[in-house]
Amino acid sequence: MSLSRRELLRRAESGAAPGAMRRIRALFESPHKMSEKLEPVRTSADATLHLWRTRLITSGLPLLSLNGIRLLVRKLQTLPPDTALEQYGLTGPTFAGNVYFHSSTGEFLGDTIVKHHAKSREMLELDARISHPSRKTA
Amino acid sequence: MQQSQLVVYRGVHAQHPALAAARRGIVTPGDMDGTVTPAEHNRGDVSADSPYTSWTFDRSIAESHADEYGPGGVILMLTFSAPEPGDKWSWEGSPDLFDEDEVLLRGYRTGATVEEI
Repeated sequence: MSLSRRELLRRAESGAAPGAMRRIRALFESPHKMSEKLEPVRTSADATLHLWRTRLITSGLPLLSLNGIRLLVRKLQTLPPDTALEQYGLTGPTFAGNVYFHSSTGEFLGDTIVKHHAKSREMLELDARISHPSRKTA
Repeated sequence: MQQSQLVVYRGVHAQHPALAAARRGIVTPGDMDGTVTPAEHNRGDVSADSPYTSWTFDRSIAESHADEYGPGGVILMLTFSAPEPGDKWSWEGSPDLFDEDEVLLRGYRTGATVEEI
């Protein structure tokens, strides 16, 4: 079911903790786009749990900025693995991430919203090689 | 694989739909014709519809992804080199939202080095 940002915010408000609401509002930082429709991605609790449990380990971001992911993982661990989820994702100028709801009940399950970070000099150099590839090295 | 060349790594977990291909050194995205963007791919949970696969310059990150469902996953390795004329794949930058030293491979490739974990 596609949702406007305003509808998504309303659904999240019924179950999200204050910290999650702050992140979602920060993601929706362009008020004039509030009526824009977002299309959900269908996924399962099991697949989503494994992905984000791993990303908690692999992410180089400071632990505090992974609060949403930590809470999402904790919530997903309580659900049957085949529980169907709806994921709504958005990339804003300052923040980006996904918001997850239970497909059947509409319950807010969590978010993976984080602030964009500056890439390291090494990664910027590698990105530049992709933009201007030579035969020797991408 | 020569030591001096830059290597990128991909972890393929034990329940991954492309595991059988990965064991033969074949890299297949979820959907070659998918319209998923690099930003959407990097945000997660859209791999099945994506023309991209995720790679990292940090082997330990690939190992963690390969181990996502326990033993049975593999690590794929490629040299970070530009495609030859006529190749149907390309490297693309990732927003790398979660700071995983990620780079994206668009398309289908063969010949990856495979390592069991």
